[in-house]
Amino acid sequence: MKFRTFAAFIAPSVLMMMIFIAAPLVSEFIQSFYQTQPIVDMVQVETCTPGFVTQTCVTETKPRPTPDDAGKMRTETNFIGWQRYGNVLEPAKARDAIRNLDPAALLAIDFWGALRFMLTFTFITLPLVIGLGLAIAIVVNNTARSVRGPVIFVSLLPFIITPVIGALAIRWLFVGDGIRTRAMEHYSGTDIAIFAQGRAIEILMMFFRVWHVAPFAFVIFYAGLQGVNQDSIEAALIDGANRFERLRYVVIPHLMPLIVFVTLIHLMDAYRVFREIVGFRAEAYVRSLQYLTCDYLSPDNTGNRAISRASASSMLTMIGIVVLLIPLLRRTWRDHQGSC
Amino acid sequence: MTIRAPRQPLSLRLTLAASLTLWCLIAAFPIFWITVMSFNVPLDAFAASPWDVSLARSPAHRARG
Amino acid sequence: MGSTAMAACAFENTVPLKSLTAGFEAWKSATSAMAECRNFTPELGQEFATKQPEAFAANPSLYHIGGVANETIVPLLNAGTIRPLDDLVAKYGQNLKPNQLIKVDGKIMAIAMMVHTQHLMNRKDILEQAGVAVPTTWDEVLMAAEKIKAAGLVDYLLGATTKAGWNFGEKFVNMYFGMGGALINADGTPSVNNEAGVKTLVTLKALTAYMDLEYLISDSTYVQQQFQQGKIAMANLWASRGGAMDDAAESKVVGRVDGGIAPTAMAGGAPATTLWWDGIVIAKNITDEEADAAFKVAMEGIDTEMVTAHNDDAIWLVEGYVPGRLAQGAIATASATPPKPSYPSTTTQGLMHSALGDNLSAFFTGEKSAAGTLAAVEAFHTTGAKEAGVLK
Repeated sequence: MKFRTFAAFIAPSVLMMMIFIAAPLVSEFIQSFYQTQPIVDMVQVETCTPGFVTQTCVTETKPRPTPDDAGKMRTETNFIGWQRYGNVLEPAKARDAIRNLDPAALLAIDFWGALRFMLTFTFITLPLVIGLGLAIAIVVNNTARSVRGPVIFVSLLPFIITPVIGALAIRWLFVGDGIRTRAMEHYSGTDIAIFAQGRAIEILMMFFRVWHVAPFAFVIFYAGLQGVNQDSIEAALIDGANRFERLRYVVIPHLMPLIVFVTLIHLMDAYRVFREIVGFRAEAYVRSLQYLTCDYLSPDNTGNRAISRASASSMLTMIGIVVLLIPLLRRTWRDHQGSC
Repeated sequence: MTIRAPRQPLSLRLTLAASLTLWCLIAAFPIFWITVMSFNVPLDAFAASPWDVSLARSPAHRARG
Repeated sequence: MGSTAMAACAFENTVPLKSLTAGFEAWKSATSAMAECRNFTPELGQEFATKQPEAFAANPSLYHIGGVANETIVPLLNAGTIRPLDDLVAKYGQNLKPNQLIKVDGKIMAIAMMVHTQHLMNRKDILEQAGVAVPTTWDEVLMAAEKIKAAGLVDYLLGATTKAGWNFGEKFVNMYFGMGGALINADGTPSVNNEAGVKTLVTLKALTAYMDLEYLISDSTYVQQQFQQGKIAMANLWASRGGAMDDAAESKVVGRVDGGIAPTAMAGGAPATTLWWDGIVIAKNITDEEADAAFKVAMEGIDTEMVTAHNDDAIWLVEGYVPGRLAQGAIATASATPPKPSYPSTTTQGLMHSALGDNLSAFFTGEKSAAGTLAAVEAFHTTGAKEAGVLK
């Protein structure tokens, strides 16, 4: 294809990506170095509020934004450099914790604790998702055709359901006196409170993610399995390969590009874990960077928002994802170069 | 002449069938449960016997007539 | 959709009006009374606090009437997007009690319709069975819990709205004020890492020993359900949840839950809880004619007729309210001496509340010590205050 035709083809997509992805990213990057604040004075204000019978009046010192002549709130924007990143990363405290070899102190800092959770979540769920997806694909491929349709439908259900609803469903099964917990209590004879224990909640969240994403891996690998080269299988049979050797030396290499693809997608998604924390209401025990960003951005009831800290933490999330994906992307690039 | 792979031994077929059934149960159960709960009163979420609730035999069902 | 006696509105409203308020029962009653005046579109929901600041700052404002409470009036006050109501009250507010006028810096900025507080709901039948009087201090609560536990009458002795985040922050604020502490110094710096703060954390920890282990996910709905399922004996719960205890469709303990006064934390101190009010404000970025009509409609919404028809929805401040059985505890709490504090309506309080909500769970999961947790709260507050520009 001539380059000009190619350029014309992709121009609309590239333009959309520039407007909706690149420009906001650049603006956010710049925003993380600036800070906009209302100009406030500390004033003494008397506030009268109802008691049940009579009013109570208190005089308190409040910060009050001073309006300009038109009655609008004045704000000032300052350049603050790396200060917000410092607030999020807390390098001084982190360095002390590392020097004193004190992991608890390091993990007590929001950012590093979140990072720990995100990395364990991602790297434990990854092999499980791929393994389970592959296993289901191979087993379904071996099933009788008559049953295959319904089995595929049921296997896809966890992926079709909205993640928040799925997380809530699993939560209700296990929280307090949910039926799963009661079944476990019945068999073990002890009182079980899964949601009181940080580790247990983490394991439940990982279980949920694997349950939710394995069907996606299954569908992709199943499609890949339909294209396995029959000649290679026959050659392997003639060479006397047993079932497992056929799997290892013919099927898996054939599926490798798909495995890399699923790994890429899963790394990106699992690193930005958020819905599980919300669905399981686990924010007291574990947080992720995505959750922290949302938390900074959510206004509290008096209207305060930590926008520049949110920009800093979302920039840090992006950097983390890029770092995670570099090895895979390099490998794909090298494979691509090699095959030309 | 195409060479066919040897037939799978019965034990392997049974194991595969059993694991597939187990996976289908795990995949479907939470959704089945929320569907059942969507027809029931909140009281039933803590009912003593989940079977009664699923098969619409709980007191709340009977009370609603 | 209950059978409401269609109390007719005193006048027919011709100006199209909109309101944005919270979604709980009291607001449903008030806005449906307002809707009887015609040309009125209420919007109710729990996300109202996020929508209000921007909606009211629009010109013209997206809503004419807003439903606010102690905290949620602050962003509107700061941005100057609500109007003083002194002249409107003079014209149409004859039926208002002086207690209902929320004054800030001498100007009436809101009209309160109800008060709200957390107080001690308890299963009086269980307390009687265990031979325990209704506790009036937190120490008595602990002793009562011990006795009921020994008698083995109920699954968990205590429930509490200790969900990590806003709920837990509120619990701390209530107890801390009860211990006589002040959260913020006059210069805006935080003051929580002190003796009162540590005592608060220690007392709260002692209480958790009697609670369901999963207390860090326990919000008001969770505690309400625990009561309804007969699983707990006592809890400091919002007065508005009282009605649900007698709801036959959900509750197994109809008629057995009573409202008691909120316990005090110090001998001779005020009840360790804060007083909240809910009321209406009128937007500034609307024409005076619209503001006039909006105020008239709002007055219809919170008049005696509405309160008589929906008596048990809230602790109304309006003339004609007759406190029911479940309201006694809240009223005793509200009229106790020394009086308990009103929840402060300031930006710095909002920042402190977020700092508490985000950082307290570390003490309860055993991650940090009491002093360490409170130091983290202060550091979080300082960062937030500097970012918001209230601290230099």
